[in-house]
Amino acid sequence: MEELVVELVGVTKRFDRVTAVDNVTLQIRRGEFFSLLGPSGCGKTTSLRLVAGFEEPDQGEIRLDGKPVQSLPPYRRRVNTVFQSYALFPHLNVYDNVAFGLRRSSVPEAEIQTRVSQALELVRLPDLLARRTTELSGGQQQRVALARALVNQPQVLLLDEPMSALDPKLRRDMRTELKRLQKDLGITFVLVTHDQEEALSTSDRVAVMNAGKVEQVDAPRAIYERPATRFVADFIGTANFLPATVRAVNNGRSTVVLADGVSLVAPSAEKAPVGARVELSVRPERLWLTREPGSNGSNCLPARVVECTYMGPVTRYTVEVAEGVRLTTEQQNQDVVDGYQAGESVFLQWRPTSGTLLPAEAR
Amino acid sequence: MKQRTAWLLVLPMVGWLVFFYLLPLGAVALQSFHLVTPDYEIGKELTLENYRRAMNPDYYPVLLRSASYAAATTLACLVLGYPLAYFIALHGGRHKSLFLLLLMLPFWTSYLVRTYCWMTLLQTEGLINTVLFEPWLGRPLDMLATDGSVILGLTYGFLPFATLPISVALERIDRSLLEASADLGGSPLSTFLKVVLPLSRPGVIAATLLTFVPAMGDFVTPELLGGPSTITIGQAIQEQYLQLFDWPFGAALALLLMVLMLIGIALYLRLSGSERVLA
Repeated sequence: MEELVVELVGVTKRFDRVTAVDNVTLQIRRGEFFSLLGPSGCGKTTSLRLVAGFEEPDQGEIRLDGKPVQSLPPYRRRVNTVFQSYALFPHLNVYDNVAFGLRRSSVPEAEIQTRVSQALELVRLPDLLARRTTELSGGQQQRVALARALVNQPQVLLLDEPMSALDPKLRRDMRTELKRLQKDLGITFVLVTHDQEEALSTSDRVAVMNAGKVEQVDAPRAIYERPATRFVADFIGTANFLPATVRAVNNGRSTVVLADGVSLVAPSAEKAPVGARVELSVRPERLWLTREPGSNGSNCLPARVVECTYMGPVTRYTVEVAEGVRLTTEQQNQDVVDGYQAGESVFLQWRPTSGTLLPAEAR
Repeated sequence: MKQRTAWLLVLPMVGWLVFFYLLPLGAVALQSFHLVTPDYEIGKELTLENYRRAMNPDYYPVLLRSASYAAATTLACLVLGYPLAYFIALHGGRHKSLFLLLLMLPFWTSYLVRTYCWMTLLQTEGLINTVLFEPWLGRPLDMLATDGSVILGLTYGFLPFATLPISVALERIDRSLLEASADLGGSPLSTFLKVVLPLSRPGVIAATLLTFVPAMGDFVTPELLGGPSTITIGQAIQEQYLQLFDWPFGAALALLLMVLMLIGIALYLRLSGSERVLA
């Protein structure tokens, strides 16, 4: 069992009548890059603020390094935060901003000097010591904010949507930079973001949150390939859903039947026993279209092209497999002549391993 | 065209300043270079005689007393007003406007009436003596016509002027800065000293000016709550205008006070490094 550095155990936080965080249990391992991902209002930022100490939980326990901290104020917790707005002190220059935390813990001034310049070198911003923070660009401000937090060598670095204010190119660079920093320093990073690409590309593990609850905690690949709930499948990337019923489970493979009796094969899922109402989810890029039915063990559904949108490298097709059941798929435009027209009858195929069975949600 | 619209928009303000500020000021300045005639008219001859008289060392203690009152008033207003502003701005919550309204409420009554009320409270047969000191000490205290009563009255009158700008400055501080300070290990006290106080400085500077300047020239409060030993420069000027009818000499005193104050304000702003803040 790996060492846990942050633990939330049954944590609930309410604001007036809104439950922002609803009985959340999370375990974050030492040295990992962990992301809290979800739409706005899902409770990810509140979870982060609970760990930082800006909010007190109504129920449950928060542990840092195994010790309960939920009643400790933020200044007694060895975690540091990079704020969404950076929250740099406007009355202090870059040096004094970065030195702020060290001064609060009475580090001798000579040591402060070395550590501050090391931290600024780490974020590749060594020459702006005397600059006022209001004179810096957004990207520079963010680097100062990072240095200001990292210089204290926290047990955990909390990052609250740190890249949302940057332009897209800078954001990509910063992502790589964050990943590099985390690897080099070995400090646990907890990143809050609503940007799935950001979470998937930086993190060792991702927790997807929705409406105050954790839907799934897993490695990025597993989150995308094996979503645990319909919400996760839908929120991460795009997904097609086919309502079905499980007919048989055999050796890791489940057979499901659609409403019109067609049977399909998908990897078995714990929450999809025989007889269960499920949704079979398939990513658009895993589907392919043919004019003839396949015979190589793929799932195959007759379909009718409803709409096709040419998008350069790919063409996006919307097909209808049954009355009101529409799926989208993207086909690489490898062959110029091989296009399908709206109204054309086609076959939609995918490998059994490309599907995911999700418990049908009561609606 | 745009330029002309902009000028049209500032025209009323410029007009207001010219007619109600610059012209009267010019008239006062002009008067100060004439002498008053025996039948209380303004003479024709240009002279510096009024200024020579105004430099009379007899006025130094009066000026010094006024400055001390103004300084004490400013200090008291800051000490009382800062915590009040801090509470309203940071802990006022949804009642913030109510608190600000309560702070302004006394302004709905005339300053004169409010100062008279202090007279009835402070005088020898007043409420405070009857209820507090007579039963406690066995005799009333002479509170009226002292330095204390004047400073009390001035502080009472100018407290809102100190509280409002500080409260505005505190309100403008980004709350995430306070969280950042706590996050970096700053206790509530060091967060206050290292973040809140420096960031509220523009408000404190404005509060200082808004209390010191009017307190320095005030004559109503020392007139009502003070006595013969508490004559201020404001009263001295008022006496020239309204009792001795020597308007030119009063004008010279007023202008000298104004120049002195302008020099003082400029020095203060330079020393507090706040030209930039105010600009």
